[in-house]
Amino acid sequence: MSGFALLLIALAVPQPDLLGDGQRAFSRGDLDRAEALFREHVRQFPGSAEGWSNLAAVHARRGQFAEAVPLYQRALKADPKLTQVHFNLAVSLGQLKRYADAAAHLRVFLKSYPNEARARQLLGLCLMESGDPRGALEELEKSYRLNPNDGSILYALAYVHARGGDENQAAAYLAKTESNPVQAKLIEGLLLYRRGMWAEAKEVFSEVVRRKPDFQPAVAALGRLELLERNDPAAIALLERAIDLNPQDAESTYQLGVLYDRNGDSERGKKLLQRAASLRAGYGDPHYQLGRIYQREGDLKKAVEELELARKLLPEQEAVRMALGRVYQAMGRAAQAKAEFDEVRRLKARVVERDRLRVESDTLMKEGPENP
Amino acid sequence: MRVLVAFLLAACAAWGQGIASRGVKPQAKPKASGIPWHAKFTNVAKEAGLVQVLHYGGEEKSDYVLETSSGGVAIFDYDNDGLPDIFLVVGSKINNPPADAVSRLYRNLGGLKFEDVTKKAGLWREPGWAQGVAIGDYNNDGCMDLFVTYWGDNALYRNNCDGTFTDVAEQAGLLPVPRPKVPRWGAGATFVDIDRDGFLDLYVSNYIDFDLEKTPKPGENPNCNWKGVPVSCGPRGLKTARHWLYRNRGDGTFEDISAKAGIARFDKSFGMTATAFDIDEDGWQDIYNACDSTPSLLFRNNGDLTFTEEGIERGIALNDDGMEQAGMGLGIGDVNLDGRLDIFKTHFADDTHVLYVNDGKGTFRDITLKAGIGVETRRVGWGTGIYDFDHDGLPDIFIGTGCVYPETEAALPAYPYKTRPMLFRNLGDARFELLEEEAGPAMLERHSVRGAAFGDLDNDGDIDIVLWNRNDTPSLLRNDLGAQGRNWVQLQLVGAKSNRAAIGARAVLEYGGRKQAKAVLSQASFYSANDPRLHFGLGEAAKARVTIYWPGGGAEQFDIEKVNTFLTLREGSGQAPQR
Repeated sequence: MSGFALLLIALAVPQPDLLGDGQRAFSRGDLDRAEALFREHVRQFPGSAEGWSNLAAVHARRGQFAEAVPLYQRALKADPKLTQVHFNLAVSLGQLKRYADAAAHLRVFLKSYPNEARARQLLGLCLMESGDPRGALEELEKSYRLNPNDGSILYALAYVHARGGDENQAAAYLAKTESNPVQAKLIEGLLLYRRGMWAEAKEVFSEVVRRKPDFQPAVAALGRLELLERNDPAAIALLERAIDLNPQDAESTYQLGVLYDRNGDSERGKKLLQRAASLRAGYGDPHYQLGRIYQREGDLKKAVEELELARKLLPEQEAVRMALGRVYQAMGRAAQAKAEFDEVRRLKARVVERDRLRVESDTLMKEGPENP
Repeated sequence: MRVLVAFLLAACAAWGQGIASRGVKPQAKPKASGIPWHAKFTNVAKEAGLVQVLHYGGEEKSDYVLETSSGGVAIFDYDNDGLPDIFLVVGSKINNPPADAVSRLYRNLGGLKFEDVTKKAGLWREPGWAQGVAIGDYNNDGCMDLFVTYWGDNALYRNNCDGTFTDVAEQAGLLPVPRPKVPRWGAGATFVDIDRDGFLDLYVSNYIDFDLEKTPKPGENPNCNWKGVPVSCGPRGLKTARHWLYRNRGDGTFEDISAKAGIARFDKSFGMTATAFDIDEDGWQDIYNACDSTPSLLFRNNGDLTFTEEGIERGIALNDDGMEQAGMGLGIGDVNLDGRLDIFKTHFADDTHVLYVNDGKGTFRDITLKAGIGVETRRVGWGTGIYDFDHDGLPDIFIGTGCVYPETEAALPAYPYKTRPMLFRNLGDARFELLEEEAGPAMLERHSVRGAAFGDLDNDGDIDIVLWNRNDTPSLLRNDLGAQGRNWVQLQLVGAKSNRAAIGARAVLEYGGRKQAKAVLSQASFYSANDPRLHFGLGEAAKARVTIYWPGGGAEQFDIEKVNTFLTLREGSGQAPQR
C-alpha cells in the first residue's frame, strides 16, 4: 500500500508549500500533520486533483479505506487523466472487498501502464474474488512474466490455482518459492486453512513454528486455529505469545480480546478490543465485538456507538448490520432497524449470487473456450 | 511483499460448500444431572413390518445434491380406525432405479404391526425423486389427504375415504402448465388456512433451481468439496429457487397466488422444511420456512391474502451471530413452558442446532448456548421434534442425524456417514442435557437419518418415533416408558368453522402450575408430518385446562378432568376462555 501511495505523492504538482509540506510530513509518517496540510490545500484549491488524491492516500495509509475511496473519486472527478489514481483507488476498493469495482479501475490503469506487474497481480486477485478464475489466471500469469522475481506473484498464482482446481500447478508454484521456504510453508498452511482442512493446516503451522519458534505469523495462525477449535486455553497461550513477539499485531490482540470475553473476563476482553482498534485504524471487527458485549450488558448507547463505527468501517458485513439492527430495534428505533435488516437481506442474497457465479465460471473454465 | 500478502489474505473469502458449515466447535459439556430417565427407545421396525428399503441415490457416493436430501415421513390415521398409520417417501437412483423404489403406506394393524398397503391404496407410482410430505384435509371430508413434493411433479393424494387415494395434483391446478424444461424441486410444504375460510391453502417451498445436466459432478469443479474431499455440488453455488402459495377455492381446485401474496419475489433462498402456525398470535396463520445456507423465511400473514417477510426482524432467519445456517429440520413446541411456541432448527456439522424462544410478542431469541444445545456439533441434524418423552411435564428435543455425503467418511473419519440420534432432556428453565445410552438401545444405533415423525403408534400414551434412514430400512423407535406415576393426555382437535383437521390450531394446556403450548402442524421435523393428535406429558398433574386457538379465529376452553386418555375436542363445544 505505502509504495503506491508514495508513487502518487511523487506525482503531485508542487503547490505553494501546503502540498510539499504535506508530502514531507507523509514521508516521515506524520499523518495527522499531512492530513491537516492537504485539507487546507483542498480548502484553498477545491479543484486540485493532487490535493484530494494525497488526502485520500493519508486515509489509505491509516487503513481508512472507506474514507479514502470518495476522496480518490473526487480526485478523478477533478482530473480524469490522473491515471495513477485509478490504481490507488482500486487498492482501497479491494480492501473493502469491492472486487468488481476495483477490477474496473485496474483495467483503466493498465491501459496506460500495461507492464505494471503489481497492478496485473491485483487485478488477478480481484477477478478471482468476483467469480472469474480464468481471467484471474490470465492476469496473474502475465504479471509473473513481467516480474518473475516477485515471490508474492507466485503465492497468488498458487492460491488461484488451488482455488481454480489445478492442485499440481498450485504445488508447482509453491515449490518455486524456495527462496523463502518458511514463508512458503506459511502460505501452504493458510491455503489448507482456507479450504477447511484445519488439522492439516495445524500440522503445517506447527512445523513452521518448530523450524522457527519465533516466527510470529505462524504462532498467531496456530492460535487462531486453536480458537476456532474452541481449545481456548491453548489459543490464549499462543495468542499471548504472538502478542509478546509483536505487540503491534492488531489481529492477535483482537482475537485474544474475544477469547478473554468468551472465557468470562469481559473487562480484560474489552480493553484488548479497544487496543486492537487503536492499533489498526479502520479495523472494524473490534468495534463489532465491543458492540456485541455492550449489547449483552444492556448498555445500548455504547453498543450503538461501537456498532455504528463498525458499520462505517465494514459497511458490507452482514453480521454488523444485523447486530446494529437488533440494537436499534431494542431502542425502539424501528425505521433504522428496518433499514439495517433490509441491508442484511441484500448482502446475503449477493453472497449467494456470487457463489453461483463462481461455480458457473469455474465450470466454464474447465470446459474451455471450445465448448463454452 | 508483506503488503501484497496482506492483500491476498484479505482477499480470501470464506467459502462454505455443501449444506452450510460454519466451523463451530462444541461448547463444554456440563456434569451429568444424574436424574433418572425412564423413556427407553428400542428399534422394532423389522418386527413391525417396516422392511422396505428407502432407496435414495448412490449408496457409496452421490454425484448430485439431489441424491442426498429427502426423507418425508408422515404419521396419520388415513382410515380413521383410531390407529396411526405411516407413510414414507422413497426416491430413485440416477441410473437404473430399482422397481420397488416407491413411496410406501403402512397400515397400522394394532400391536405395533404394520401392513404395506401402497398398491391397495392406489399410491403406487413410477420411481421418482420424492422429497417431503404434508398432511391436511383440504376438502374437509373428514379423511386426511397427503401432499408429496418431488423433484418433478408434486402429488396431491386425495383420500377417497375408502382406503384409497387418487393423485389429483393436475386437476387441482397444482402442477405448472406447460411443464418447465427443468423440473421444479418441491421441498418443504405445508397446508395452511391463510384466509380463515375453513379451507386449507398450500405453501410449497423449492430447494434449488436444479438442472441435472448443467450441475458439475464432484471433482469437476473445485468448489464442490467439503473439507477438501470432492462431494456433490450445492446448494451454494447453484441457483436459488422461489416458493409457491396456492389458495384453495373450496371446490377442490387451487389458484396460484404466489405473486400477489408477496411470496414469489423471495427467490434468493434454498427452501427446506415448511411449517405454519400463528407465530405472532394475531389470529392469522403465518408460514415459516427453514432455508439451507440462506436466511430462513418468516412470511407473516397480513390478513388480506398478502404476506410480509419478517424472518430477520423477528429473529428466526439467522443465528445469534447473524449467520445463516443449514436450516433443515424444525421442531415446534414450548420448551420454557410460557404458553408460547418456540422453534428448534437443525443444522449441518461444525455448527450448533439452534433454539429460538418466543418472547410472546412474535419475536424470538437464540438461546442455544444458554440452553446447552451446543455440546455436540459433529453430527448433521435433520428430523427433529419437541415432545415430552418421559411425561415429566417438560418437553424434550429429539434429533435424527446422519452425514450428507457417504463418500467423505474414509478421508474424514471424525465425520462418519451413519451417526447416532440425539436426545436432549429438558431439565427445566429451558436448560437441556444430552442423553446417550440412558435413553435405550436405539440411541446407540447408527443410521443416516433424514426425516423423522413423532406419534403414539401403539396408543399407549407415550411418543414413538419413525426415522427415515437413507438407503436403509426405516427405524421404529418404540418408547417403553411405562407409567412411572406420571400422567399424559392426547387431544384430537376437530374443526367446524375452521378446517376439519384443525391444522394450525394452537393449544395452551395448563397443568400442575405449568403452561405449555403445542400446535397441530401439517409439516414439521424434516419434510415430515407428525401425529396430529397433540400429546402432553403432565408429570403428576391429574387434571388440566386447555385453551384452543382455532385457525379459523376465536378461542375456546376445555376442562380436562380425566388424564391418561385420548380426548376429541370439537370446535364449538368448548367454553369462552376465562382469564
